[in-house]
Amino acid sequence: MKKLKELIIDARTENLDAVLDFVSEELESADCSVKTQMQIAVAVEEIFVNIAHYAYNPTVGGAAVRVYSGDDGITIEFEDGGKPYNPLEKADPDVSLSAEERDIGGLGIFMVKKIMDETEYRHENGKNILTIKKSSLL
Amino acid sequence: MKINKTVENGRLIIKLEGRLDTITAPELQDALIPAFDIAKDIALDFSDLTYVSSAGLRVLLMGQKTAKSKGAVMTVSNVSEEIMEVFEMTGFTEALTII
Repeated sequence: MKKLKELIIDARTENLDAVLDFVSEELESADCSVKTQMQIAVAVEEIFVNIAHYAYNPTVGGAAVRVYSGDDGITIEFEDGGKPYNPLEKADPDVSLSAEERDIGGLGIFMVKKIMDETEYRHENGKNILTIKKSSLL
Repeated sequence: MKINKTVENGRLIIKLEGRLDTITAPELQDALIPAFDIAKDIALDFSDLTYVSSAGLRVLLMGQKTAKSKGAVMTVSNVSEEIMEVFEMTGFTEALTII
């Protein structure tokens, strides 16, 4: 049986610390390594900030963050009722370029995909639902 | 995040403590980018930095580009294993000068 914890919060960047604290608490109780905790936090920050910036712009709305933990790792689900948007469709940046050749930005979602083992987006009942999963917490 | 600036032998050392994330990255941007107007050698000390997200990487890249355009040098030192892994997955080990 998977353990579920849920946080419902306004999707604003000022709430990032609250979201990260909520997720890290769950990762700590799941005996996640420091390295993996940081990487998952990077992924969570990216997705939450994305929702805060774009989902309801120019107004503010709510987001739900759900953490499932079990024998098969950690799954984190983000739900918002904003504009339909699949961030996973964004093209990956070329990470072999030098600093001068690179565009500033565009790395966030790429990092989410690199860090997590599975990422999935669906639009259901007017909600954006983005799910990320990490199997190994070592 | 705490930002501590010191000058040693003509080199500006910017020591960061805490987390470099969406909330704190603008603070580093304000401390770092204008500094290239006066300093030609800037060293970022990461020994007390615990976390870097993509917003932090964006500012580091901006710093590297500014350094290049002004004929200055920007180095990053004392990078933790966890942060180094973030640099590796994004190719920043090559894009930045890490010592």
